[in-house]
Amino acid sequence: MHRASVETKIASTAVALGTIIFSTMILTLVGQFLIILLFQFASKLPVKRLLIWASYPAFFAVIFAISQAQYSVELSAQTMLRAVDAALLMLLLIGTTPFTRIIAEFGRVSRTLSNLAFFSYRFFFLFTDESSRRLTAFRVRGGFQGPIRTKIKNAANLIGLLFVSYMDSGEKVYDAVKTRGYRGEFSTEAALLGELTRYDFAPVLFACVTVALFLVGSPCV
Amino acid sequence: MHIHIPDGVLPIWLWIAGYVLALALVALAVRRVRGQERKGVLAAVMVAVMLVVQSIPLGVPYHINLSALTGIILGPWWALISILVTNAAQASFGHGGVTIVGLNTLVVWTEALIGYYLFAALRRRLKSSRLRISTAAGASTLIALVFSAFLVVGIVGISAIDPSEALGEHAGELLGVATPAQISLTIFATLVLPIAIGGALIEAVITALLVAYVLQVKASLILGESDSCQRST
Repeated sequence: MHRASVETKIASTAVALGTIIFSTMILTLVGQFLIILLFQFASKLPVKRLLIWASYPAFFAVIFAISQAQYSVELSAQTMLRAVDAALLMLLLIGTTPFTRIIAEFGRVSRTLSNLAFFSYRFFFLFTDESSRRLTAFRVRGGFQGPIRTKIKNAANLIGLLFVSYMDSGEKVYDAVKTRGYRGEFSTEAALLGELTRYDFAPVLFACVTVALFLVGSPCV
Repeated sequence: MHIHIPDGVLPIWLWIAGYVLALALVALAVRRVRGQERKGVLAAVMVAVMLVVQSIPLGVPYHINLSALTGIILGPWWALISILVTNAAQASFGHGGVTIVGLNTLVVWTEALIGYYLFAALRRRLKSSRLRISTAAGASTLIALVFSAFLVVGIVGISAIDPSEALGEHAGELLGVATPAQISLTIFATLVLPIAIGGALIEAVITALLVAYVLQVKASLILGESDSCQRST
């Protein structure tokens, strides 16, 4: 899956997502869950960690499942399974595709969006690193010591400091790229459509299997 | 309030309508912000900030958004573009359904819009002291988030409408799928609204404290966009 083209993976993900959304049989959704796990395992992704990440949308899906339970328990189960299946599906795509390649695909639609996404991608990791360092420094200097009012004031100052620091970093990055010739857009090389390779077999197979599962479980077939 | 509706819950016509409207507005926004390169980088900063704060687990089914603050700092059009990118990035990690990104963008943009205009209006009426400006930011955030919570409940309520009944049988056929979502609105609202309003209070306080600090250090970040709004109105 890692070496397949981005377009094929996005297309197969879209097809698989469609089958998940329109599946009405619990067994079909469970089958799709297992297929996604299988492909994650085959792609050497950390399945256990991805399952933990998928529990987050499942947690929120519980609210909807409770709201639907009065109509049908099966409907609630479908909602939970769809949430988990869709999350794992997206994690399969993200886990096997560099984020920058996916962002480059957005450049076909709008350069403004892709530029924003590129910068945001870079800033996200910079900010999480900086947050971690400043939080450690804050703790070491006793920022969380003292009465509750002091703690709240110190925490608020820390958040404000981080925010101003982020904005300053943004302006410095802009100045830096501007001196390097940035004119409002990055040049990206999204691959020409239609350049399929043998590695595209994996996402195509994945899409075919999910469609087959959907058709087998569909009441119309 | 960021909607965490999973894929497959809302009817097709509703999330497609959300996507069409959101993308049309984004297309307009992209045209409006042409040439604003520096602002674009700051918008990217806000996207990263929103992603960082929305990743902080609070132990309850709620997270801080900073969407109203995004509106105050960036203005409506860059806020819309930033919010779309943020929601798309989150959906890629299963944080909210992929099909709900359009609706999510509209709901969160409403927070940014209300935050922006309400903050500017309150600033015009209040004297410019740090306490009053930060309180205005907090109040704008609170009102924006409470409104969006009710908007989410409204969207779920709309999802229960059967287009065939509402618009006629032919309209239902044209829309393709006429199956309404089967969600108990009462239960949903009972679960969501208390959490959302409690979270809105917390975020309003955090926003007010953050703005108070930023006003001390770099006031132009907060006052710059609102001053433009005042000049244009």
